[in-house]
Amino acid sequence: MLVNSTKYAEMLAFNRSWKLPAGVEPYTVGILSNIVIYQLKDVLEYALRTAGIPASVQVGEYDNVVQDSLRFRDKRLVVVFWEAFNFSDQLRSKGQYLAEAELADLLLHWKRQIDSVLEALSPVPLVLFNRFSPWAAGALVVEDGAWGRICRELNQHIEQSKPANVILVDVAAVAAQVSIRETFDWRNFYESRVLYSLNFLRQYVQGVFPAVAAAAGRAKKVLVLDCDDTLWGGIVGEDGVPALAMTPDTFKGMIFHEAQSLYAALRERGVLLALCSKNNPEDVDAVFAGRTDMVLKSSDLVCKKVGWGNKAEAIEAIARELNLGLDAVVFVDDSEFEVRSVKDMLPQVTTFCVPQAIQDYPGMIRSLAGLFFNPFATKEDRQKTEMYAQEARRELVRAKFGNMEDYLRSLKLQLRVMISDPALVGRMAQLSQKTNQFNLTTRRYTESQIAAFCDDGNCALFAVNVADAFGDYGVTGLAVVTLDRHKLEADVDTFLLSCRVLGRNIELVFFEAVVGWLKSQGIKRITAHYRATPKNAQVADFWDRLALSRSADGGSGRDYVLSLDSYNKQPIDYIGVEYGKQD
Amino acid sequence: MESRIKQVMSQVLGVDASRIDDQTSPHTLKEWDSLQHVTLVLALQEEFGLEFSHDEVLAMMSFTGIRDTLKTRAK
Repeated sequence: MLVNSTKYAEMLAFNRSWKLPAGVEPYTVGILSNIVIYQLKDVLEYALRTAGIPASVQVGEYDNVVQDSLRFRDKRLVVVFWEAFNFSDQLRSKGQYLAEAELADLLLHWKRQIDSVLEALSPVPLVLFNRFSPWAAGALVVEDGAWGRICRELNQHIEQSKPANVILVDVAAVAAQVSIRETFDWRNFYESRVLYSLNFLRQYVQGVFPAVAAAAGRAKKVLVLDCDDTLWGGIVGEDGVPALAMTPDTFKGMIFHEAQSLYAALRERGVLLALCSKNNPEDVDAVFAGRTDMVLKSSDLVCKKVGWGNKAEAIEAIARELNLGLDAVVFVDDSEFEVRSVKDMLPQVTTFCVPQAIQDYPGMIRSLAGLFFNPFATKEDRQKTEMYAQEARRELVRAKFGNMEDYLRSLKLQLRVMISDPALVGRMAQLSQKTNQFNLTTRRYTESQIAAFCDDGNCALFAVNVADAFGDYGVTGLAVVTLDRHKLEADVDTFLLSCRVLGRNIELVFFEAVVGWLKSQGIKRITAHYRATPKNAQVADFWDRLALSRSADGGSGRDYVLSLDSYNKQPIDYIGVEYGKQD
Repeated sequence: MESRIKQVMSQVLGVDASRIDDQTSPHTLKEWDSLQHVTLVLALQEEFGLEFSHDEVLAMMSFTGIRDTLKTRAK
């Protein structure tokens, strides 16, 4: 990562000359701490900005964590860097030998503070909260000192009451990577309350990066793998299929068997696997068909680029086919030449070279697996390989039909509309955060906000699951409606559809399902809105097409009304609808 | 060495290197405040692969102070 190879002064210069691109919302980050840690702002801004995340980081006042947590409620990310060692000067001097009663009082006090901070930060989509670590107070080996107990109790407390938006950060693991001696900067601490070294902060940022990238919608998604000496030991074109090492009865075989198992486990977690190999396609196919000891099967791969062309071009083609950015791609190859040329031509791609000391290969895969950490992954994310395969089969069928309606009819589309279903909170929040194109109002909601809507009797959340003859697209549409049961009115706050199901007239039938339910609740009139963004022009006339009447026309949007009695049904008979629950 | 010091100061303080001379100190350069001094010392430690003592940090409160400290350490 760039933070490791860039000097601090260069990061500062980069950050100073960096400009937020026009029309882009900044990714707002707040740092709360009871030590001086503004260097974390510099390193974090640099790491995120160079990775394409337009971060703007604000550091709270020194030791003002509780009050500042209220100021940072509207941030996209808050990092809580609470240092037990600096809880108070008095505590630091008493050190490991604090009296029992005093300790109990302090613990109660801190637990309350932690609770109020986490409560204040509940609207923030991601909170990174450092686990308390006693190591600044010295690493006791056989003695159970007060610091160890303080940290243990506070960590337990957070684990037990941790809200869903909080991820705990193991700073001790970061310190272990840097070494404890290099973690703390004692001169700086006693001069100006700066406790952590730059190298610790670099390692910290590298460690939390996957969580931040996932929250910012920049998670790594596809792993592109070479074949020879990457998936199996040996070269198929030269050694032949039977000679390849992948069975754990030899040194090499054990390593490549484990490598394949680790890749297969990533695929289970929803990572897309693709092949990119310089080989004759039939040779590679022969390995998959002929070697029953292959852990990875052909069906685990979302696409295969096997041939003699340039690998950078093949990787670009893979990203294009999967509709993903190059920054979502990780590439592994045993050839330093290939790795270097991909790195040069596609700097956005993260690359790894299989180590020469092959016994280090499984460890390398374990650490690169961390890049795919995505706490925000939903069932839909995990099923992506299967969905891409379905889409490929649909494309084949589509080519056979000259007429769009005949094609749609052949799909046997089926909608299931689920109303305020708490099991779908994560997916509904994800849709509201990520959907840009077919999104009438582009209001972004966090999981806790969506959960609150679910509990609210005057609010109805409509999640739609779409399936067809080829398979299940998952939950791909959302409407948020607020109801005024006295006035018999409802307001369509949000109406959106994932781009994966567009072009099938699903939006018309979905809207009709919403209208049908509202009528069943006695609602007579609805209001709806269009709010323009740089990405949602395709729905600018959506409410007009449904014959809603305009009630207000503003610069960046329009308001509409519809009397439900005068609503005409859409003439679409090839999409089935049912109301139900998530399977 | 002077030009490396000036480059780091310029990157940290956000001022043109040509504005830095033997008279430069927190008194003559408003960008060089106490917060930035901490940052500057960290960046200089990294640039020259050194760890400074508290007394050295105090002595580095001017361009000439930085240069003299680094010269002494280089011996």
